[in-house]
Amino acid sequence: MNLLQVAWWNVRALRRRLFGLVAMVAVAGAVCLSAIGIASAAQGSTTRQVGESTANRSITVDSPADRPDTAQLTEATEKRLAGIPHVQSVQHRLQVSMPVRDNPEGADLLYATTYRAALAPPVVKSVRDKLFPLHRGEVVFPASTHGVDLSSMVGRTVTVDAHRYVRPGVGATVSTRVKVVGLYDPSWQLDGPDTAYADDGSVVAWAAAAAGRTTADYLRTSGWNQLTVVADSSAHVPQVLAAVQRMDYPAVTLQQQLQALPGVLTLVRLTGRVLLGVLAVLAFAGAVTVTGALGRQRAQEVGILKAVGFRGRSVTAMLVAEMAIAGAVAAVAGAVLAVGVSGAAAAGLRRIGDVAPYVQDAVPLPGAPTLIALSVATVLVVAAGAVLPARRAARMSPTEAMKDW
Amino acid sequence: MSTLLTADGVGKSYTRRGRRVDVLEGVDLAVEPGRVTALVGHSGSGKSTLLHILGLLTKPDTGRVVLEGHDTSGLRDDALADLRRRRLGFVFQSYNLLPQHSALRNVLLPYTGRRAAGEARARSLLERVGLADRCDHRPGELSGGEQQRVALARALVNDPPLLLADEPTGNLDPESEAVLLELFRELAHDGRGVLVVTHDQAVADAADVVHRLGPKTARSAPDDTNGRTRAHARDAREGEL
Repeated sequence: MNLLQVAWWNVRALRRRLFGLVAMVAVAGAVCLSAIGIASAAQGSTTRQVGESTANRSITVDSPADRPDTAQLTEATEKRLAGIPHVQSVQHRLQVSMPVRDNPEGADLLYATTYRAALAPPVVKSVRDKLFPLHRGEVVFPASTHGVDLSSMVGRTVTVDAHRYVRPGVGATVSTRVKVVGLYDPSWQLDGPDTAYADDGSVVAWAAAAAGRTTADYLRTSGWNQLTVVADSSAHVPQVLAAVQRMDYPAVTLQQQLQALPGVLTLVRLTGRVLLGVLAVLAFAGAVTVTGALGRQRAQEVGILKAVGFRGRSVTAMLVAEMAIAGAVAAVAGAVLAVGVSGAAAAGLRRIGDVAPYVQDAVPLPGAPTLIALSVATVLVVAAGAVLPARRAARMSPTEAMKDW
Repeated sequence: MSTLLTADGVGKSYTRRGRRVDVLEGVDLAVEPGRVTALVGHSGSGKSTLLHILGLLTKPDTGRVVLEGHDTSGLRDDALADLRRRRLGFVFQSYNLLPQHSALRNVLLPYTGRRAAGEARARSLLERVGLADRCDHRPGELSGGEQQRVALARALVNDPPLLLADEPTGNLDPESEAVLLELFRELAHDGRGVLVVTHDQAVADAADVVHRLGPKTARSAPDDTNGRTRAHARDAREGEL
């Protein structure tokens, strides 16, 4: 028989008195694990889709809409940026709203976006092997959007309307027939939700039509709404980023962009981190309180153990081991509970359009290393909380502890 | 015959409500192997305090306790705990079994942490005290006499040479008392020393040596009464401490 066995039997006997602590830590742990799981799964789903080599070398330059003295992202700007030392390529992006008139699946507003070779979306279904670059009149839809499954759209032709602006109160609708040639994984969120990729010519034509200008005029004046600058290597990214920013363009590295999650998921991640702290405090304070109370209630037992030859540190170790076991039970219970909590939370988040693509997993939980680390940390924190009250209980003289012997 | 345990000029006082109360003063006592020694006295005479001191649970204010020839005066708490664990066995009036553990696990408690498997020994001790079929019962499922026999088995699990019992028959019916006293006799016959604190005359009568704590504690040696012959053909000595 060893101390751990004695502690285990004691925990079984004291299970009702330990239930409160175990339940509190388990519930807090479950919510914490769920929040961390959802946030990390969302982060991972985007990061996984990006080729690390390209992602590490990419800088996103946005249109300087609120900087009147800075030139728009025109072809001339593209050339200037390409002239920065250690820039391998500059790839443009233009995005424009694309009402889909006869989409039988019901998703009627997508955003037509040009394709960039540096950041190719992950295709999950297509009419041909090599989908990009797209031909004129071809589009690639997300596999799902707003909960609508678009997988049946591949190979179909739909009508896209571009509302042409002429002058205030006067306009015309230009309709174009386009063919859906493929679907991409909707967790690819680099270009925002509801993105449909189309060939450059079509997207520019729709944007120009909406602005009531010719395509040449549009590209010369309004230009692209985003440029992706790819550096020669990841080591050159800071230098290139600084050069772009010196030209007064709003620019971030792609890695920085990937860190930015939608507000709800940022809140979820923050909640997870805050709860982690709360969990630690709860576990520690709970262990201090419960061990102290049990130590006083079990004074006679401590006295008996010391009378039969337990050293003070053996009694301390036994009491701490009891709380560590309770912590382990709480950690396991928390992990089991987290399956339900994260499943329910993910189901709720999937109803939020902007967030849904990030929450694809049915039960988003952290990976095994994180689960194990959090479980071990829970056990250690609970055990640490028990040390001082356990030592206090163990210091009691056996004759004091066992007054009625 | 070498002495197992010696109290040499032991004194102890407490402060109660601001007044110093001398509970023990200059007590000498010896416990020898192979004998049942009874320590008797009226309520409040300091019997339990003396047993605490002899059992290394409390340190005396004056004097010393010598266990198997070793002075225990300067020993630290851990060393005293080790001596209690290896060389002493305790039996309490209220049994003091842990209610959450079975009889077997209660007996094994002093064995905790030792490498050798103690379960076989614990089972054999429970068999010896007539509780072989009660190993898995918890204290609440046992009678008072059975609980006291479990406590006795626990006291013996580490094979200590000395057994200390505080009013062991105080809560027992006459039949259980007789069984326990017979077990004490067997243990003494095995060569152990048995020191029993009691105010029960029947227990004192069954002892080989009787020490009496008087109303006024004083240094004195036991008054030998070797002339008496008892059923077990043992020496009986009686004296006031």
